[in-house]
Amino acid sequence: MDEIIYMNIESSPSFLLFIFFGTVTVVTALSVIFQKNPVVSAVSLVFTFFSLAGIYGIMGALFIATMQVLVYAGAIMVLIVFVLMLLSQRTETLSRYRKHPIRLVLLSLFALGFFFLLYSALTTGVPHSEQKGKGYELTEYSFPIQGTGTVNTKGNVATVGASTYLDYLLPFEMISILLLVAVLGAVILAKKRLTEVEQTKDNVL
Amino acid sequence: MNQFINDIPVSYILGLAGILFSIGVLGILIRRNIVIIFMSVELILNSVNLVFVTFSKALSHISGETIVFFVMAIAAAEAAVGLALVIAIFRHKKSTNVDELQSMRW
Amino acid sequence: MLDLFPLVVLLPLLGFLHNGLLKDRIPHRFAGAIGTLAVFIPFLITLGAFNEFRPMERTAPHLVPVFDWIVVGNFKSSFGYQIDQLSLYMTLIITGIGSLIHLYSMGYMKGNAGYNRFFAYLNLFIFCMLNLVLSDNLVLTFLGWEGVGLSSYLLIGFDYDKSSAAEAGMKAYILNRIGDVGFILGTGFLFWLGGSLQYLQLQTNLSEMSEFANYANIVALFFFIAAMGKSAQIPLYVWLPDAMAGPTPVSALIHAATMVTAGIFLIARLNFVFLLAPETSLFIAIIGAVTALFAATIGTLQNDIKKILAYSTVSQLGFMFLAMGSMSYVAGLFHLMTHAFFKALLFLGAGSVIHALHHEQNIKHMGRLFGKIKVTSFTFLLGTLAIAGFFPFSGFFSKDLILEKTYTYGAFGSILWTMGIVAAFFTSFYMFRLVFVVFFGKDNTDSHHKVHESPWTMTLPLVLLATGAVVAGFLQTPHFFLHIDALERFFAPVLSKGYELASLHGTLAEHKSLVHDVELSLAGFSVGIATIGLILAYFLYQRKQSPILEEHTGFRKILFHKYYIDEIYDFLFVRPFLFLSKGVAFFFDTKILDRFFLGIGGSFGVIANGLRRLQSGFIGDYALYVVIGTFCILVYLLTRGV
Repeated sequence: MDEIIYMNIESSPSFLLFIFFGTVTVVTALSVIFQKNPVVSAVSLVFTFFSLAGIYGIMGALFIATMQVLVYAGAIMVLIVFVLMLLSQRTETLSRYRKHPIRLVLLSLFALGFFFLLYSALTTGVPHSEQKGKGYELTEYSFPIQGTGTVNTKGNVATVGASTYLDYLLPFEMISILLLVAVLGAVILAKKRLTEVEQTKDNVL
Repeated sequence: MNQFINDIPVSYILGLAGILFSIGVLGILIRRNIVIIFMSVELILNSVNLVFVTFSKALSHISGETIVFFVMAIAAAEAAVGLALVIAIFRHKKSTNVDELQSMRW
Repeated sequence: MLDLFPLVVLLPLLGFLHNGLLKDRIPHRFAGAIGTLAVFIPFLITLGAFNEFRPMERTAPHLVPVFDWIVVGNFKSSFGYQIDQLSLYMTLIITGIGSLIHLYSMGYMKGNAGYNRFFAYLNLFIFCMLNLVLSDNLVLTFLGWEGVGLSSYLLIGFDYDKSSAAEAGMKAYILNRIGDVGFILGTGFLFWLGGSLQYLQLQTNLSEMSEFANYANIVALFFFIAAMGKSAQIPLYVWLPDAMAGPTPVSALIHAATMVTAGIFLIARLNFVFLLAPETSLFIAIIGAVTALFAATIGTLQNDIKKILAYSTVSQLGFMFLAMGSMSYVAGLFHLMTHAFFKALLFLGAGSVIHALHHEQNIKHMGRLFGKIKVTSFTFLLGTLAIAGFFPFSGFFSKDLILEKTYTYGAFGSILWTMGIVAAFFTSFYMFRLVFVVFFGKDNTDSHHKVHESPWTMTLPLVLLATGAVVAGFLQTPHFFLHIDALERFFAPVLSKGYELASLHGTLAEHKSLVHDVELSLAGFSVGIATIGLILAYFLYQRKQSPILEEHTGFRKILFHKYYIDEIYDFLFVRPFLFLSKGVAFFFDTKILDRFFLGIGGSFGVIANGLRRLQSGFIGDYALYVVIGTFCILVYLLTRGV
């Protein structure tokens, strides 16, 4: 990998924005982990998601940025916070790892190793084989269904849509089934047993 | 492969993703509250999403973004099931502390 | 009738199963009757089959296949029975004498707690022995061969609470096992050479093989080693005298009349091998002659009535092997039959004496029994006359035939004949010593007990066997007396193929034909020798009441101690082996092997104990392992390249 030249990017607004969002991401992620109060952690996580959405936006993946805000910051975070409220979590300390030397040593070794790995990967680069991909910048999107020829796409959302419903149609349908199963599972798991309802009147949940 | 995406070096973004991933793993390892661990998993998923998007842009290939979309759907499903599990466990154990969930030992 | 033959084998097996499985549920008399019938009915069937087979005219054997047993590639061994003159002859002896001895046992074992077990074992023995003689292939014969070894072991150690009996059983089993190795090797050789295990098939296959004559000696030697073990020849004979620890009917049935003759039968059955092996045959003859002489000399100074008869059996088997070695198979088989009669008779008579004297076996504590137990004494005397070879009892004819054939056999004939004659002299001597001491001499019996004659179940077999012992000799008589050659003609079909082969390869033993005068003089000589033995015994043991021969000094001491053979074996084989075994067991096994293998096991235990800590039950730990694994995979991928 070539030497990265920082001359003209430091003044670039998108780069500055990236730095800002990246910092926010890292800080809030750390706060997710190290906050004693789980609710604070959850709020930090929302910020993490937002800043990530910002990064996606800078990169030009507008559809994904939108989805990030909708799905993650919206749906999933609401779920998590809801559960937290439901369980009425008190603050809690860190795990036993604080007290356990072997685990601490392993953990720090892992952290060092991962850091080194990341560093070497970013400086020397990962060996890879370059592929001619489907043109992101192409306005003509061809797809392999016979006789239909091409679909015209304009903009990020349309491109992703075309890709999803043409190339990835089968995975898409499978994911729909998966979602259904997940919802059923969630309902069954979280449901109180009917017999238990009659027996225990002082349920917390 | 493009070295820059909108003037942002690819390696920076990947570095950010790596840091985020590490933070997520660390969270799984050091926290005892099952919900926090759950949040850490979400962090890891997000870091991977970031990598997908980055390469999608760098390689000018739309598949990455599509997959990110799928990952989000799966993450939502996982969140639903996972949190349902958390509730079930809490109902059973009266605790969300994973250190107390030792039924796998024997 | 011929196709009923599997029944002959099956009935004793059924008797064994019945008596063995129900031994605690059925009354003694019933078990005895079942056991006896399970042998007697086969005897009747065999008689019928004998008539139907027309052995004097028919030449081809009758094969009765039952089922295929082992089929692997071109190796096939089946349960099939070959009915020919030889197997009929043996079956008649086994079932006939066997049923008599079963009948005898009903009286002899009366009141014994193991009565039903005893009959189960006896029937098992008969089943195995019939398999041995009737089978049409070597594998089934081997099954029977092992089976009789097993039942012999079971019956010798019948009183298993007596350590001497248990040890004797083990001794018999181990020495037989040595012989069995020879059998297996011989079988393997024959299969390798002849490509089959069926006797008939082998016979035809080997006759087409010109080079078989080169291997015949070694194959024959292997089978002779097998016969040595089973038929108690030097050097594997030592188990037979000890086998007398079993009940007397066992000694009569197994260790005199039937099982120990399996070696003779094997040689006769494989005559097409042995006829091509003149060197091995000579070796057999020498071993036989030496054994005959050796055992006969030991017999002269023993004091246990059953031991004397046991050594006598070894000696008589030596005679048979002498005949087999000099390639006169008819003589050997003839002696087998006559010996079966008179030796079974003698053993049963001895059993009757022991029974009368309340389990006294030492002849020093007997005497003057002739008037007290008339039937036993009289039949015992007849048996003695037969074994000593007095004209016209059966022993005379068979022994005389053997000696005559030996005399005319090859270069060493006269030497072997001399040994045989000397053995015959000793035979006569020790048998009459026994008779004089037990039935005529000074009364040394314990006077507390009243001597009583045995019940009819015991005396009837004695009478019948005595009849056999008297008249059986007339099946084959020399030229100067009637000149009956029924046995020669009877066995001709069995041996003809072998003789053809032998004459083809030029290995046929030359038996010089004798002038009648010489024949007569030989016969006269042997009778004279027997008479001398009788007279000597009379003077030493009847006239002199304190015989000089009972002082054990010098050579007599050696004789009394059976040439110290047991001690020599003990010193040469048993002790080194025990030493080695102990070394292996208490040093090599425990100190080295056990430590090594237990160490392997223990090391796994230690490793597992260490790894057990990984299963802490904390989810965080498991996540850590996942992370570490992922990390390792990552390192690998990043260094190798994607």
